[in-house]
Amino acid sequence: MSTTNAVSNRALLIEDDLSVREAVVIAFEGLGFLVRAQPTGEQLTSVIDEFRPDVAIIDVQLPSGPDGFALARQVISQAGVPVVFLTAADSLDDRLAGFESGGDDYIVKPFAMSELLARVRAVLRRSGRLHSPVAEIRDLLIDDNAKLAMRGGVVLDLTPTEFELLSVLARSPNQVFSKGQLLSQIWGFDSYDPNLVEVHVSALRRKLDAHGPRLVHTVRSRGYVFRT
Amino acid sequence: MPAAWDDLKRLISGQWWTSGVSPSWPNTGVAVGVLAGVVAVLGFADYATGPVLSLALFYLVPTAIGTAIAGRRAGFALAVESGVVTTVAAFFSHSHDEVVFVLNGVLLLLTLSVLVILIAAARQAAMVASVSARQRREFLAYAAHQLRTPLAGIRASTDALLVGGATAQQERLLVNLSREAERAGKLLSSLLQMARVDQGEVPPLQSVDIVELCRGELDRPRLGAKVSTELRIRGEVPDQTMLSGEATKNALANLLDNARRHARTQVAVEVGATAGTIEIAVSDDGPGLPNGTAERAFERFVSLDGEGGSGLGLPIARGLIESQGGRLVYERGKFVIRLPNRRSAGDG
Repeated sequence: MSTTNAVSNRALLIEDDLSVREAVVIAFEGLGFLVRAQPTGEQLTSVIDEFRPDVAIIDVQLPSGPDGFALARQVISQAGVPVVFLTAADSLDDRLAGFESGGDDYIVKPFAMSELLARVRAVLRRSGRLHSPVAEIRDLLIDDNAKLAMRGGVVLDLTPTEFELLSVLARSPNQVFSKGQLLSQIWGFDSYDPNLVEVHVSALRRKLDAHGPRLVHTVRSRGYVFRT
Repeated sequence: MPAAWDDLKRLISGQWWTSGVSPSWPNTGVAVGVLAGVVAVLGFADYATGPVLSLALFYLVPTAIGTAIAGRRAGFALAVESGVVTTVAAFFSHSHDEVVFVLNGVLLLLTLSVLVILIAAARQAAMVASVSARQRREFLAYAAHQLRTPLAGIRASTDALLVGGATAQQERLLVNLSREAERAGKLLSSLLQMARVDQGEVPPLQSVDIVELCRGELDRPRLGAKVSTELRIRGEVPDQTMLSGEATKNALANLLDNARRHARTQVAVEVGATAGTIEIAVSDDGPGLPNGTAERAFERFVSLDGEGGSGLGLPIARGLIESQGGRLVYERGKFVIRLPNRRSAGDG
């Protein structure tokens, strides 16, 4: 395969709440990000210089030092990378303050990991910083920037969900994904239905199989896998 | 002249006489001048119009206003002043019969005192009610806000475990955990939103493409494959309208959540406009509300379908629409939002 997964996206996380911080680090590292996390904006200047983040995820209300908005301004002026705010406040005013300080997106706690991930990927995509946006696996080409998938030179007519599904499966070939893993990365659980994944996988499969041999396989009682 | 107005209020409410705080000139001068002017006008009015009309117009009304604005003391002060002025005015104008004269004065004072007491009591009751309602709302907003952080930790940790992969059994439990955290989070959001609507927060208006807004809400990708959606546009809908995009979007999202839960196969949004009104109707091909329950559906914590929703979706939606001067009703099997059709500047 000729993906360029070797280069990971780097995410800087500033979040004072220990559980949220650890959970985001573990989830994002599990999805191939390099993460640097700290509870406050301490020594931000040198951290940015040394870590060179592609994206920053910043909690707005921090117990000490400058607040998230101030840190975001520093990140933007020093590194010029997109910022996603995390916050427990969700009144309209806070939202506007977030965007005035240059934040690219805003997510309200408690959040679904899938949603944070989708937003981080979206701001990376918009700023042209998503590493390996184009992946070629066998006769399949996935362009995350254009949200376009081709097989054997033919553009596949996929819904946004089917595209996400294909992108997740194909970018980690030969790794078995359980339904729960796919749900947590793509849907979140607010519209969870045990059949949701099955329905979308079989639709995706139909569209893929029309142009060549089967790529997405079912592993009984474990989940799905993209086999090369 | 706000400082002078404050001093005037303090003077007639009696604060200066009891607090021992010495007032500052020249504000006090202005305040005393205004008060003297009022008394003089009242005296002259009585002399010019006769006692019956002046009682109604120039004593009852100022006493009522004084009590309502500055409280019982101010009302009594004005009542006493009125009584004195009437007495003096009557003495010099109408009657020299001392008994009638004293009786008139006493009757007037009595009438005014009763008025003062009634207004003050009503004012006190309103104040107590508004304070406790405010405290309740503030408490709700605070509690909901504080609960978010631990909930976020639970939710994020559960999701992180799921992303990493788990055994089938662990996964089932983790999915339950994540879903429950999600539900609690949504409930908190609803409570916060309700508290904000109750606080009478008026959302800022901006120029919004209402058709695009409806399409965006209808097309939200994650909302399952079961239900098909349709957007119909009726007549000439302006490109841009002045409304609160955020409030309208949230209200519409609540109505769509409802419709999706109850639809058999289809949810439809119909947008239309007349000269004065923008109309957005949300319908589904489900059973609809039982006859005669439409207004109950808009009450708080009422969930007619028995599916354990928060019972806040519809009252929040109504509050969000009414906060921008619109209406939300249930008519002929559809939820209908009506918003004032305020054209944006620069939209012809």
